[in-house]
Amino acid sequence: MKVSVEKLPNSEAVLNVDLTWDEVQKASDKAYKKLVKTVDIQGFRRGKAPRAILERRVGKEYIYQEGLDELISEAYKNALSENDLTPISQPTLDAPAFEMEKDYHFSLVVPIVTPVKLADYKSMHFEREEVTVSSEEVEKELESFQNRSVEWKSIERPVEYGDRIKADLKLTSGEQQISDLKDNAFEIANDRKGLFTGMDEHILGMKVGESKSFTTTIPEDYSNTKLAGKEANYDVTLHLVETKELPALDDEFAKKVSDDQFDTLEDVRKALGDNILEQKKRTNTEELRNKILKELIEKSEFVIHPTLIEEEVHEMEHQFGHMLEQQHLNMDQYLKMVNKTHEEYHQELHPEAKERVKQQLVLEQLAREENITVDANEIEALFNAYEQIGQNLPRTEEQIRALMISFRREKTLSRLLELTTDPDPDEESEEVAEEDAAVVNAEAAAIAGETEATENEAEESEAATSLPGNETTETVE
Amino acid sequence: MEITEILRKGIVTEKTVKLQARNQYTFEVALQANKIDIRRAVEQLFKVKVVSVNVMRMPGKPKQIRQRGAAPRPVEAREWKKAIVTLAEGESIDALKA
Repeated sequence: MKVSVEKLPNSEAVLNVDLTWDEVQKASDKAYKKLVKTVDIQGFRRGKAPRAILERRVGKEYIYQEGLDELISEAYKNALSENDLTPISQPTLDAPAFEMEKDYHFSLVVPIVTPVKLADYKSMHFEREEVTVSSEEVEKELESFQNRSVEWKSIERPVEYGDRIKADLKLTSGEQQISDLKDNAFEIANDRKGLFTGMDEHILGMKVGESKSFTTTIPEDYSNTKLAGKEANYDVTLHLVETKELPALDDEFAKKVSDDQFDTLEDVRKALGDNILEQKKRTNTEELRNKILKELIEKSEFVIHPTLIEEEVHEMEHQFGHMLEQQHLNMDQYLKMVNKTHEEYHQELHPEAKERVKQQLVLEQLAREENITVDANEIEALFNAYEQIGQNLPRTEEQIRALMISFRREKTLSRLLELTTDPDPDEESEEVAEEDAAVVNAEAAAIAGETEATENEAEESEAATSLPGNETTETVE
Repeated sequence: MEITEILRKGIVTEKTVKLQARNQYTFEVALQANKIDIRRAVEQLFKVKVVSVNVMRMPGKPKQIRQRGAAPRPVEAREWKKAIVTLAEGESIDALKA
């Protein structure tokens, strides 16, 4: 068997294979031995029929063809491993009909992953940004804690901004009734968006027990085009006015928010500061990583086969589909909502998919050049870590492979960071947290596509259903 | 007997393929056919030289026909005659040969 491999510039490889008649015949012998065990022939137990009988039953050519197929896939496999090619998809076969007693020639075209020509990452250098925490940031965080433990007190006075009221609210537009809420609690805000724009100023100044009817205009950019720009008629009956009471910032409050961990407000401030610093550092590192990776991608040379991007697009769509499922939507419904065709949607994903493919290729190549591997112990540790955060992953081969890949990328990224930046001043603390961080990051990487999509989705769904009731539940939390 | 009525069909099974090594070929033949008829038929139809013919009557056996929705019905499998024909050395019947 003679195999010659030719690499085309468009990231495809052509395999030319020459076979002698002898080889074809040997292969057909093998094929007969395999076939005879699966074909039922009257008068013979399975596997006992002589070749001539089997030939009469399934046809001589069939046996030869089986043998050839086996030879072809064998040649393909050998060629891949010998020449270190990574196929992207199934090869296309150009095989002429074979003739008895003659040598046989065929060729295969397969799209392959062309190894990335990495830029000289060892000479690249990036500065780690200093992170500091200002006292304002701490105060702001403290304030948000304060806001979270707000208490609502009933009060006897006209409604003001920032109050929480309970009221019956009936909203109609023309003949159509949009909502009819009984004894619904919501906060009065002067910057309300969406369907209820402009409602609050009319409610302002109302007293308990009072009823009022008024009209507002639904904004033009409201997501439901049927209602946008229409007049909305309100009937509101006020039952209760409550005002916000912020807890005082004292040691008492400190104990409460920290579950008795800290005694004084100063301690809480300090802990908050540390927290913020930690978080900033983490995002800082994350940003730095992204920056380095981006730079590396920009400077490296790629030859990417379109199939690879196509696959990534499909993967992304698949993930997004799962997201939609959680919101009880399917792809078709979503596309209708955003008014796009399938092709347009794919087109849109294309640039990001390309970027992702580049990232993967770069990291893989880097891992190869830096000899970064993941061993079974590390995977075991990852599984355990997942279990500790309450996620029992099935230990299937697939899952292990996925983890291995994401963890290897993670390791590679860390290595890249080491190579291109000065060592972190407080390396020690990082060292301990590395495993955890890696897990978190790997996880983040695994669901990265989904989170992005979630954000978009969340915004949209919020806009579509911003009833007052919803907003109160948010503040109560 | 008419020559075309004598040989019903050739029999190709594991067992008869084994017999072919001894240049013996197996046929199902008409019940009324005798060894002389069979020899003549094989020699004329396959253009070979026959050395000897062995025949045996295969007994009909009681069988049951089972059909869905009907009670099993006893029937008798038909009796038939088998002939094992030995050819002269160097001769063969390609239609049956494995």
